[in-house]
Amino acid sequence: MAFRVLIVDDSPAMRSVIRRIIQISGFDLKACLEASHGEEACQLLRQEWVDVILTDINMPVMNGEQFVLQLKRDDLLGSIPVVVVSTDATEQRIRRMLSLGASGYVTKPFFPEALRGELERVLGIGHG
Amino acid sequence: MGEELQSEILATAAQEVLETMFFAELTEGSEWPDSPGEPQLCARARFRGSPSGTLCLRIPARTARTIAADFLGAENEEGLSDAQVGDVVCELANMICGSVLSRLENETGFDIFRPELVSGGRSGSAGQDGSPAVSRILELANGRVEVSLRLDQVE
Amino acid sequence: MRSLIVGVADCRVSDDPENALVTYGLGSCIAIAIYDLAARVGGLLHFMLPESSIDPVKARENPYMFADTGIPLLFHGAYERGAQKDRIIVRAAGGAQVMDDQGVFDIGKRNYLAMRKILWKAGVLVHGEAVGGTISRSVRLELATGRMWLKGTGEAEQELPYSFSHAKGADPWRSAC
Repeated sequence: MAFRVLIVDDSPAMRSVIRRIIQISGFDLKACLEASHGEEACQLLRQEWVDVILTDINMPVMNGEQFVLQLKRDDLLGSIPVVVVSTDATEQRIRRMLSLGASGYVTKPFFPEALRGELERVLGIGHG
Repeated sequence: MGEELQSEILATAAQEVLETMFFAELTEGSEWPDSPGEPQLCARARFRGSPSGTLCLRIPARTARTIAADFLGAENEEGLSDAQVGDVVCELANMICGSVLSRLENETGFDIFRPELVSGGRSGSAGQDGSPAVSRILELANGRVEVSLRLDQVE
Repeated sequence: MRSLIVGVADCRVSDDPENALVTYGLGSCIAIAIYDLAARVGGLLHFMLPESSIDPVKARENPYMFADTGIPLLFHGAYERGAQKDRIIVRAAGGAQVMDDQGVFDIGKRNYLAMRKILWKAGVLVHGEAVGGTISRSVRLELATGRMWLKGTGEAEQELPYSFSHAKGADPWRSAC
């Protein structure tokens, strides 16, 4: 099954790294879309469908928390699994994002394999 | 929180980020060599919380280019634009800042504002309100990184 | 099953299902095992040091001593036998902290970081690893199945598995008999 992914992060460098990890992870990647903040991501999602979203938290205009809240208010968009990729490793933030509906959480810095593993878990790609 | 503990947290956070995503071999540095005219990049990340403060990072330009290539997975560091290198340095500051803040005892959480490159000079200088900054220098294979943390004084 | 011994600063690649590639005494050294599930080609590199620039003469004599010269040769050796990069699974073992006369020496970690950088730049992710710590390790890679076994000093032998989901190619368990 080919996947469409949306990466939301205000750092072009981090988006590039995440994109590279997904590309070399062996996923059947159909499309990799990018946005630099939550509002840009919302606009993009009005026109394009994706199968999974990876989002940072600290971003200008609309941060990751506001973005996930906005997503989950929509019946259709709210069904897209969201993996948070953030520097915030505090327990309260992780609990907060999961309670808002995020399906996964990866803290920066991370090994590429950790991101791959979290995506596999969220997308339901099982191990043999 | 005492300066000694802040300093340890700063070094631990910087080491974790540089090893995990930049594959950097690190040793403790003692001082920034006097190299007038050597171009360097400085990034500053403001954060808001309890306490608020600033994290600054200073790195020689040639070292920044090398670690940017390592971070991005680029074989050729010469092929990177200055903008790409600058963005990587900002993201390095962002990650170190987040790693530091995640280690500080805090009940209300933090927000980190997007780091920005600032014009040259010593990143570890005292903050605008005169409060001292805690600094650590880490030696890399082809250069060094200085990270500084200044917590705003609680009013 | 025939054991082909991979020595220190050594590398072997094979497509013979009767073979197992074996290396011993991984202290600060690192063993990288690669395996293509579809082509049934595997290789094992046992390297000692991170960068060849510290001794270019030695690197010319024996490129397998260093991560930056040995790892590309390992992969190219496998490609020559029909392996494909997007099907290769990678596992690593070793990189322990070895005590020397002055105290703990960090060459194990330096080897690990060098390996990760090289693999990242080559667009290759790791599928399993047993690294760090203080024990010496031995590994065995079975060419018939791609299964890798690990033994640490004072420990029982255990398998170092990998993730099937993103290893393209044939199911290694299906035709193991």
